[in-house]
Amino acid sequence: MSDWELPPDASIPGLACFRELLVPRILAFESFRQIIEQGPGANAALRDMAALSHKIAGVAAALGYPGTGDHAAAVETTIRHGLAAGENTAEIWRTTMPLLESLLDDMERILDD
Amino acid sequence: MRILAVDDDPVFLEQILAALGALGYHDVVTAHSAEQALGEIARAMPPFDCFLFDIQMPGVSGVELCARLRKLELYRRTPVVMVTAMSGRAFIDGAFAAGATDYITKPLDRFELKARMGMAARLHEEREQLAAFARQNGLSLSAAEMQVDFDAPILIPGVDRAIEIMALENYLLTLGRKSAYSYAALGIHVANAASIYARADAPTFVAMLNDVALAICGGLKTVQVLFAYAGNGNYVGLTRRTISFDQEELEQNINYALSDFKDIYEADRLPLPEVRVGELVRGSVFSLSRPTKILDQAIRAAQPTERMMPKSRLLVG
Repeated sequence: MSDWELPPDASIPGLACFRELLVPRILAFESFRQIIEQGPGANAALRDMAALSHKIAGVAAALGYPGTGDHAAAVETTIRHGLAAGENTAEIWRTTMPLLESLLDDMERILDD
Repeated sequence: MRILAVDDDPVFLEQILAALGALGYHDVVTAHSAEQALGEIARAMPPFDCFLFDIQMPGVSGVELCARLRKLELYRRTPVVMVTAMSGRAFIDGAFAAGATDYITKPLDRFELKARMGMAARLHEEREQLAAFARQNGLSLSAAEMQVDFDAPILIPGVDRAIEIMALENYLLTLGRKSAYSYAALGIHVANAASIYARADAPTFVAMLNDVALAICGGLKTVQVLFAYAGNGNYVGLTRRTISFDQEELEQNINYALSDFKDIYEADRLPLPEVRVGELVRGSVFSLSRPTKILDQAIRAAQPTERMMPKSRLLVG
């Protein structure tokens, strides 16, 4: 969530579900991060991370969090482009990690609302 | 209109349910996976009138789900609107080739959704009218579909890469002007289609269109192309702007492939279809006209009057 974004109207369809899923999704991202940093299974974990980011990117803006949607889209596209270009896992992760940090910061801020 | 919306994200399903409800579409069933969707489709009574499929789902993707749906006779022409994030546009070509009618992007924009659903509702109404016509005349729906007017664009059944003309137009429109620039259109005209239409019954005319579509597919087998039958004996294809091919050679190859059917046409006392291929039409990045204009231009380019040199005509009969 970017600083200028105000908490959205709680009655927005899907918002409650989105909020409920924040904690499991943050934990999922952390789990993918561990796998990627350990090495084995890193490519699959990157794909899973891209897929989860894709889901957030597809709904966040309509829930009143356009900045979060942008950050999620950035994580997804960075991973997908990296994998498609045949970049090695370490390189993809190096460019993805700061984007993921921004996304996780956003998700935690939404939790704190 | 009865709708099935499929997405593996429960948040999006809530959003789409609410958005469709706000547009007056309240008969909506949701599924969280392609597998669950196929179960809903098998059990649906009455059948669904429209589908919204997320493209990127784990397991069976929305594109594969669309392809499986199109194999069911009941849903061969039911509107299918694909849903994807902007980052998933790379999957769109495959979705249209699998039989999608249209697509919308996430995050949902209510004006875009309204426009797309309005189009799907119009298609559904046409389908209902056709079903009513079939009932009144004691025909099956597929037989009623065969009651084609000469100028009617129809979906050529069972031909790989052949889609509905409206889907082809939607594809171009949703690409946007900048991306549409990277595409080119190719018109293919059956010069004696009117003569065949006048002498054949409707199923035979559709079978002729099918023969031509298969010959086009064969002629363009190495080219990435989507094409549609636009009515009046005209086909139009969409391919990459950078493609190069020999127009004369393609025309000869298509006509040569059709000559294999000579005996069948003779038996039906019909002339063999005679195909003309137009020049590739590329859009201009500076053009302010609608992106679909290149389809019209390509069709015009394949008409006999547009040709600089007369073509040798195939002898028939």
